[in-house]
Amino acid sequence: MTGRDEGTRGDRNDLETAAATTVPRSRKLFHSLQFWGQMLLQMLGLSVGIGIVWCLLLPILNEEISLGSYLPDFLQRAPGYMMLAGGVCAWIYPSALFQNYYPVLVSMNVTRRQVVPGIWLCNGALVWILFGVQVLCAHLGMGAPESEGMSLAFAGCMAMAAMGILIGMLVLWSRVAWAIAIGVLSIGTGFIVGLCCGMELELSIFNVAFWQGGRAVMLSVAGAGFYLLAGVLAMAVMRKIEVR
Amino acid sequence: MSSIKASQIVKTYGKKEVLHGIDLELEAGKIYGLIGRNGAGKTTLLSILSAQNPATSGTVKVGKEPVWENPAALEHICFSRELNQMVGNTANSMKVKEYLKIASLFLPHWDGEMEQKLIREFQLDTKKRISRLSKGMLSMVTIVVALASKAEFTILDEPVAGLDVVARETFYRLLMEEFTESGRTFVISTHIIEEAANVFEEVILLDEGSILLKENTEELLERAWYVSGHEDEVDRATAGYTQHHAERLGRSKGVTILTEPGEAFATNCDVTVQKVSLQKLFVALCGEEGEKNDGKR
Repeated sequence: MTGRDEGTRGDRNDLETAAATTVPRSRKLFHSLQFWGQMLLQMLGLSVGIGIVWCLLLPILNEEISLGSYLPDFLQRAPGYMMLAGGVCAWIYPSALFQNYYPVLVSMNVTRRQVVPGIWLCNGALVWILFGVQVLCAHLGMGAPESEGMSLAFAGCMAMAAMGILIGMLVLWSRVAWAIAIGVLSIGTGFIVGLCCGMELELSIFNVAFWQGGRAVMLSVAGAGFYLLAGVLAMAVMRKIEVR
Repeated sequence: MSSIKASQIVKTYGKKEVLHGIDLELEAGKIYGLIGRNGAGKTTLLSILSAQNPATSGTVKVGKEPVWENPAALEHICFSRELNQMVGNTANSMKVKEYLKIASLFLPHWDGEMEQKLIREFQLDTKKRISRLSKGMLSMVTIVVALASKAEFTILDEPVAGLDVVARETFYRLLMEEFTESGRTFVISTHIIEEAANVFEEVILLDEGSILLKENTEELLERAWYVSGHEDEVDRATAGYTQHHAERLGRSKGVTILTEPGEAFATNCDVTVQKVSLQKLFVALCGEEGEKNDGKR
């Protein structure tokens, strides 16, 4: 083993220069975009993949769809299913992002003020991009639901994304609370849906006509607002969370 | 040239205070060894110095810049902590190459050539998932991040844990090469004290959340002595000194003492006086056995 007395300290000028030189903001931004962009592409790929699989399989179960109308039916349904898959991904992914990447990024000197917005923006961008795809497809004559339907889908996905952020935050804050939240949401949602189906409840909110006249747009705005609130809450909670 | 200055660092978890008002200055261009028993607070202190975790009170600054949530200050620091095979209750599915890719993106002075050189040196399989790595390989990954980061202040938390002796020698060689070439500051916590003692310019001894001593390693070892012989003779020879970690066998006794800086230890008593290794000194000062403060000055 070489001792500390051997050798010289070397020329410190280069070190001082390097250390004193602050990395340009543009380069930092580029690297952040590179990282989060890659994350977003993964999430998009997953959402599109799952949406397509749903789209391929479900018509098989639908006896009304003939072989001749399979492809047109696929093109009509695909954007909607991708949007739905995106919502589910936006609900699940933040838990993985917070659990796996938050500690790693903080250990790489990314501040908490940078990590949390990164996760929030990435997750939100997923829903926005898929919504944009749906709108584009509607303009191209594919999968053209009513605008109220698209607004409802957007609101629902934004709400799922917001829940994803809140649940993801809980993973690091308290695993017990996280487990309870997952359980309550899953069981609660299933219970409510099952109850409505079982009692054959015909609530007006389940009717798309109810949402005409701007109500759907208002719900979309509420969904986006809920997502914004989730981000603010995540920033506040994660401010001083310990990483191990 | 900047330094890291920690002032009155206190850290509490609930009602338990684990760091008690620590003041510490880490000057540039040195290799510091941070040693202490399990649970002394080494990792906690290092994580606070590098702004990984917040202190309950106190400040840490690089030059004049506070480190907490400050990208400008954090550019100068790299804390390469121990990697875990598990993340929470699930296996860490990240691959080594992904982990190193993240490091290259976010550590501003990253040296890709050095990264590749170290990967070859350690024969790391970067396609492996972190959950599949052995303890030694996990240490190798943290060493790669630390050395390739080229950060002005590089902090390694138990970098040699799990490494075999050949790998440890490789690490020390690489560390000294990098230090000689760049003059970066390294802070290394370790339990394998004897091996690392040769590379530490200064040693920081942390005991139960407080800094027991922070001193130049050579100067510290020059004033540490092990005095042994008949217990009466040993007591006579060490009168006025604090006896640390007294070892007894029948009527024989051996104690470790610390003289004042610059003071030689001389005695006419019939005792054997030996130099003390850093490890033995650490055991003497922090060990549970023995009697502290016998024969105070």
